[in-house]
Amino acid sequence: MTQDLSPERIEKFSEHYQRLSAEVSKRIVGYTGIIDQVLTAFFAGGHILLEGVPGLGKTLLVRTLSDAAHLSFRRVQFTPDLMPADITGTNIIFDDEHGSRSFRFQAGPIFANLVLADEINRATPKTQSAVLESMQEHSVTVGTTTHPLPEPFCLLATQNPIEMEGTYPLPEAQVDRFFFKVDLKPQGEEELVGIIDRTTSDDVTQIKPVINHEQITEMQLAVRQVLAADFVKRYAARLALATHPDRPDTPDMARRFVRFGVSPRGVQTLILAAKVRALLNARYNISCADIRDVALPALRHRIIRNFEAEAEGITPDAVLSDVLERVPEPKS
Amino acid sequence: MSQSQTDRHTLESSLRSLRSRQRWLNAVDWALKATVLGSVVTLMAAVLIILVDRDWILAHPWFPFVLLPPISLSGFVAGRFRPVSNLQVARAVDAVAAGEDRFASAVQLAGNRNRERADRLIEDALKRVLPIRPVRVLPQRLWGGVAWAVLPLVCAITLVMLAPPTVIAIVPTEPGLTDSQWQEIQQQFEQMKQDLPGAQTPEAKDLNRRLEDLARLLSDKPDKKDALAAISRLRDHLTQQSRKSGTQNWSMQKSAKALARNKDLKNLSALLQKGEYAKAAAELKNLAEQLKTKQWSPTAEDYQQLGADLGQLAVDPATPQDLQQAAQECADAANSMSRSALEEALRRLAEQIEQDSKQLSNADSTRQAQSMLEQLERLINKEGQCSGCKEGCASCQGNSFVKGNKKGPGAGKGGLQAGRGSMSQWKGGGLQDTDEARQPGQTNVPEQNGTSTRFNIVSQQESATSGMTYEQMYAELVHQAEADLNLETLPFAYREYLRRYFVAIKPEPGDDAAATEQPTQPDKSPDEQ
Repeated sequence: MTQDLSPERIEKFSEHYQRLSAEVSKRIVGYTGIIDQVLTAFFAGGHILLEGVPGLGKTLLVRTLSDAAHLSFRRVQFTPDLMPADITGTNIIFDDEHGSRSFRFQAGPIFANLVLADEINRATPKTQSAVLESMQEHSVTVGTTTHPLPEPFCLLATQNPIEMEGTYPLPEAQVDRFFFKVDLKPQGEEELVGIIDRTTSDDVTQIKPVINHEQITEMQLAVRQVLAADFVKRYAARLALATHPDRPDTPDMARRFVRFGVSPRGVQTLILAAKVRALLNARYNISCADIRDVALPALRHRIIRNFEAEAEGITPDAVLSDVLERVPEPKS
Repeated sequence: MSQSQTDRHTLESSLRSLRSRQRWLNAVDWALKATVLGSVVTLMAAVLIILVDRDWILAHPWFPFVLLPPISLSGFVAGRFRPVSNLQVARAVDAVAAGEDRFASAVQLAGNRNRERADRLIEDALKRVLPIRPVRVLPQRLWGGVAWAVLPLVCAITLVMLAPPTVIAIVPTEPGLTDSQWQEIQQQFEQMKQDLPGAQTPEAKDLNRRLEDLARLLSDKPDKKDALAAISRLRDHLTQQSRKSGTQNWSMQKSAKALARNKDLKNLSALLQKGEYAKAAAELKNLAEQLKTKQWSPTAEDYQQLGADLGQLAVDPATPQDLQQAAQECADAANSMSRSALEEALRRLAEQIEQDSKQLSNADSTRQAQSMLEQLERLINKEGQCSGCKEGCASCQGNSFVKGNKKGPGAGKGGLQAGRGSMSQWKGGGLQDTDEARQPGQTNVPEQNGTSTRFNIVSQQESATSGMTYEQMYAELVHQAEADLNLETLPFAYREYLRRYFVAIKPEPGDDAAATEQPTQPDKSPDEQ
């Protein structure tokens, strides 16, 4: 029987989270906020899109997470010649000992708890869409058979923002399925020195698993047990609606630079991510401050800018910051 | 009671006390805003009342401020009943207690279907916020705009305290005429109109029409000033008319009187005095015919007398010029004792009189009408004035205006003689000592050396003998001045100057002799000296 949210469970959640974060931080230098976002999305049950220039440690981060969480990990290098079956698996002909032949499903690399889709924008849209079902349904359908993916399932995709030649931008439908889009920025001097220390000597940091499969599942369930008051839900909804340019109360910046606003998935993301925040702060309820804290990673990839915004270099973060400033918290 | 029930009870009571405090704060806030509004309304009311009835506001200076308390009270009551949001007060608690929306969420989720979870939420929230007092959560903050209430109130108080009273009429309001007085005036006016000669000329008919209009106005019992203004307008019209026709000074009354001394010219004189100029011309022709047929044979003395009397007609400035000439010819013919010449001259005089008869009639009518209107003015001005009382009345305002020689305050003054009547405040003579101080200041401009030119103009008329005594003229002046003052609102200081002027020119006893004084010689210019 599922236990209800209790102080002990909240305390355990926080403890496991901190332990996992600390373990990952042993290898990943300087990305405390990034680790926080990745873990928030992970415990909220969402998928993560990591965007950053090469060499920032995107792949290392995912691998470290899988090591610390003791979860099965698969890496898929997306290339232009990658086929959907290479990801999902396919039916292959199998000869049994009796000599009869049959089709047997050969699971693809998607069948893991943590899947790294490296440089997802290099594969063709056909291949990209192969992960759509797995992201949404946590299952794969091959032929007439639907194969569930192991739980917890989390797809972490990476993409390189500076190489546009030979790449296929992710369709909006797929981008919208990512819980968070995490922007990795180049580190500073101190972080680089730390990277040097950890990666260029013979002193290799070992990552120990600090959390198991059941605990993760338990934590994900606890997240969903956090309560959301009506005024917080309304605040999240107002933020999402404020990104729609056709609404009368949309701020000027959003009206001017956004072509399509945030979808309902964005509101769900806000609430779930805020719930993780609430548990970390030992609360039974989410607050408007939690919503504001998670707004940028949750919504920046769900806003589709128009040509004017792209021409003027207006980033989604700028639009969202303006929306956060102008949309007031509910008072009555 | 279980812990969860206790917590819920505590949650509700905390919320109640917060709502109560918020209601009180709303009431005070709205009362302050209403006070500002009320002070503006007070100022507007004060301005409005001052504009409409200044004296009333001076008598009731507190009235505009009566509006302020009810408006403030209304604001207080409206604020008290203004809806209070649970979320608003709950979030205020979280803001003070750094509750991270615990209390607000507990308030909204208290009825969650998962009661156990809700209980935990409430318990967690209360742990955070219970130490916080409502006063700290909802502090009293005076609305900054309340300072704006002071300015309109100060303005209203200043206006009410400094509003000047209504300017008191410098000229005391004359009592209006009663119906009976108007009736009497109308009767006398009708009598005067009947004395006017019949309208023969278009001008005379127009005059009659105007007099009828005036009679209609008087029958409506108008305001005294309106009646006097109408009379003044009619008099101006008559003056302009006679100036236009050039007959303003025409009159044969005086010269006709002079002819009455002559036994041969008595009829002519009577006819001229009556204004029957056609008959007068016929009489002259008759005389000429008598001369021709020798029915009338004047002696040398008669001729002499005729020459002198007709000569009076010739020199009278009121006689039209062409008549003067004709009369002079008659006088010369009479002095030459030439029967034929006199006959001829008399015929020419008759023709001239015939020619001028219309204009002479108009001049007579105009003069009579002017005189009639003057009398009417005097009648109207006389009415309502004290005509003599022992102990004072409303008209003389208790000055005991006494007629004749009876003694009393203002003794020796009474009736409508010169310097009397409404001038009951006169001290009866020269300026008082205190009046000297009230003389207007004069600039002291030293006379410079230089050429100057002075010349005097003495017209023929000014050198003639006046037909009125000085006292009569003075009385006319006084009445005219009084009539004009009735039409104007003159400041009291100027009335004082006017009084001193009339005192200065007031006739002394024996001034009648001035009527026989020789005309003064014109001043010699410095060049002639």
